[in-house]
Amino acid sequence: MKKQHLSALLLASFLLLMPLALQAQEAAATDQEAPAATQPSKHFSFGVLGGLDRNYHIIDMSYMDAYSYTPFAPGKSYGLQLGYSPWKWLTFRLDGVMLDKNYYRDHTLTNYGGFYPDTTTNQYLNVPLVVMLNVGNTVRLHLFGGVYGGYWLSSHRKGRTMAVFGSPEYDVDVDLDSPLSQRRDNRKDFGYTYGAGLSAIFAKMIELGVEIRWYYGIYDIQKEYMTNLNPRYNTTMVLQAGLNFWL
Amino acid sequence: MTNRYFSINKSMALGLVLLLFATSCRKEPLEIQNPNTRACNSYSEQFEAIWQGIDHTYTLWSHDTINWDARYVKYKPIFESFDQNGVDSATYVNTWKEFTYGFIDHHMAIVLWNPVHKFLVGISPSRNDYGHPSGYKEQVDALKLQPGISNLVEYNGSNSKYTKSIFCLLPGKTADKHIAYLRFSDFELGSTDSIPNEVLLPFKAFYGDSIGLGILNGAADRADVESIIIDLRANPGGSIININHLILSLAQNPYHYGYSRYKEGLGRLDYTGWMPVQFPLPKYHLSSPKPIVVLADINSASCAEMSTQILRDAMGATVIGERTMGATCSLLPSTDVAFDLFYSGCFGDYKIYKEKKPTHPDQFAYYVYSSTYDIVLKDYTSLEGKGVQPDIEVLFDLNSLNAGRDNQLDRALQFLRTGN
Repeated sequence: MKKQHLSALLLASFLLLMPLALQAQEAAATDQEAPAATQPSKHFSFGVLGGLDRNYHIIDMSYMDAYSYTPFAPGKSYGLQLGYSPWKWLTFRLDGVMLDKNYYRDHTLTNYGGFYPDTTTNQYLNVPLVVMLNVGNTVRLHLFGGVYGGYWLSSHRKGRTMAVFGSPEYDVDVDLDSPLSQRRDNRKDFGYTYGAGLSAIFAKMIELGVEIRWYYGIYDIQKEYMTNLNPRYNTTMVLQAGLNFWL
Repeated sequence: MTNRYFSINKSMALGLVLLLFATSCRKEPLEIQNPNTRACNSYSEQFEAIWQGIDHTYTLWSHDTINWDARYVKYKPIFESFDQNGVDSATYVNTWKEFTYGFIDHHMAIVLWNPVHKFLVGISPSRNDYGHPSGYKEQVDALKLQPGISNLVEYNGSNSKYTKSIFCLLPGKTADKHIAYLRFSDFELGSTDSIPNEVLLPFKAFYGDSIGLGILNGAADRADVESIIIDLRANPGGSIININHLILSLAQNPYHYGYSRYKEGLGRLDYTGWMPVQFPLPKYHLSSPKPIVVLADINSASCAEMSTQILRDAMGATVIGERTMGATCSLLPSTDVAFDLFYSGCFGDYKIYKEKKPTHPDQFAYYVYSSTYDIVLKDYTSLEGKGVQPDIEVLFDLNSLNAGRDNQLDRALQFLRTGN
């Protein structure tokens, strides 16, 4: 099964499971005496988060099989989060995250003994909006899913190329504002985001948690400047920790 | 109970819809065939192979303005009609010329073979609004009529395999000074070890015995030679490695020409980063700068154009004549080796290029000759399609040549003798 289909299946699974969990929550509430703590109460939260990510650059090189793309060393992710919980089991969360979507490429010439690797580091601003299902009290399990919008902020390439006239080494900032990049690169990003996490609440207002999340981009990172264009996407897995303050 | 059951079913239905939506949101990759090895058995397959091959491997899409997608829409039905109804050779050739007309790559040539008409068709798609005959023979004849010419050494190309060349001394500003004149027909000199001595004599007169290493004891560096004319008219270029010892030997420092890049993906704008184009200083070179004039014209192409630019920019040479052709990029024609290295530029049946016949005469075959590397100047401007502009424009005049007078050479001599 392709990775992107697996990711989508997980999202769908969450959505399928969500109503069952909701029903379980309601059943637990109705089976017990209703303490004052389960009364609907509106809570706002804000916090910070940070972690590491691993990006999969989805690209089909067809007959250009001397090239291959693989994830690079972990990128970083950090940002802010805002939450709103109309009920204890439900949270709407909006994040603003600086996220790396890096990849490694090598150009291997098997018949000629040449090996030309390079890395591209990309920084994005991603703004995901998710619906979180929370299970538990002091220690909570979260399942979440939603959408994100994003913007490609910067790009840097470093490596070796098969040079004909001079040095093979290069280490350059890609100018995303150049005329070429403006024709080719789609700086807007959009897709789905989903995942799961675990958190613990202290003193009724501080929440410390970890989560694993996927960003599944559905925008091609290229503009449609030609008819016969092979699409390119990013799927990014993030492992991050967060510190939240409940108001 | 009923409400809860209804709620579960509604949510599951929503989840299934979103599952389908999620899995269909990303476009599937295209099915693309390797244009270098694609077999074609019809006019439309040949069209499809070349259109797609250029679509993915053409190096100059960032400079070109052709609407290649619109050409596909317009011409695909035409080639399909050839499959159904047949086509005469004239219509076949004219359709290909129209379909491919206007590429900015002035190296580009497309050679076609079809098993119906059974002859090779060569097409040059680039736009050329000015041209004239070579004039090589007439210009050499006029040179020999120059007053005061001495030390004339010529290889006139009796064996067409070798580069033609001519060297002489012409009178300078004063009676004891000379202008060293060198002209060669292309940049295919190659390894001088394997070339007959008579072919090398003009080069040896100018550079000295070690022409593969630059200028050593050649006329160019003599004290009585006060200035130099390098004549690159009607020179179609050749191997770029020849620039090092033939041209850079006239400099005193290594030279940074500009930048190059090639394709690294199937998208038209998938390029490597820009890589510096550097020319090292040869072991032996002019001991001190001298005034240089470069003679160039519309038939000066490729390495000849690059050399014209180098001579002007690195050595302060004055360019006299016409603008050059505008084929300033570089290429590797051997698709049996180079295509798998660069996936750019030339593709198709290499036997057509090398031996002028297809590997499979019973199939529709092609060879597309196109730049492998995009090359620009230090300020990232491209000369492709524009050429190197002369400092002093003197247009080709065949009537003057037929009367024994080379107006472009005369202007160069006037400039070097008077400074004007």
